[in-house]
Amino acid sequence: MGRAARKKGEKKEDKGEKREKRDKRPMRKKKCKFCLDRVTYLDYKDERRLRRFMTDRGKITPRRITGTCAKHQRMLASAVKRARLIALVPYVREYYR
Amino acid sequence: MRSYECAVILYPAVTDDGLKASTAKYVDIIAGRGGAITKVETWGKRRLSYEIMHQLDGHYFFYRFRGDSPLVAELARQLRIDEGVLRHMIVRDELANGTEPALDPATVEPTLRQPEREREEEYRG
Repeated sequence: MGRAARKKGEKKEDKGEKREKRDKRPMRKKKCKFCLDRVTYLDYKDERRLRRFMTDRGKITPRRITGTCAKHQRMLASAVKRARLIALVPYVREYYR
Repeated sequence: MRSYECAVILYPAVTDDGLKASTAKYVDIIAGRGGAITKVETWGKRRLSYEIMHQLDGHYFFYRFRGDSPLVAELARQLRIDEGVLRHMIVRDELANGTEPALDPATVEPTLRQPEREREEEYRG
């Protein structure tokens, strides 16, 4: 084993320790983006905004990923469903394999 | 009276005259049954997110109005009959406060909005 390789190994160990420490601390709670903007109504015509809360396949991103609060997630869900109906956003986007 | 918003997608093959006739028709239906039109908007021809009746594009129109439930029922019935309509959706307009001024149905013209172009400008700015 060369010196360089050992150094790399040591570094990795350090990182591992750090990660363990970090894992013990509670995850920082995500803030609901809509609450921060004080959103009272989510427009189904605002395609760009909706798309930020959808996967590229067209699914609505779950709350646990985006940190959206329950109230705004409900608004988001109905806005996305309306936007789907009038073909502003897809129901599904299939990929060719 | 409640405020509603009606989205209409017309076939891409509809001519300019056809679009005008269609707008006039729905404005007539709304105004003729005691409704008050507060805004008519069009997005022009736009690509659909998925095919509807083998069409890839459609002309988008949005009508915002106040009216009673029989008016909404009649509007929906007419939209279903209309062969130029690819798809339509009538939802409660939750942004309206019920005091928007009513437009004169004889002179109402759809205002053109292009969300995609606005978006590009946003990116540039």
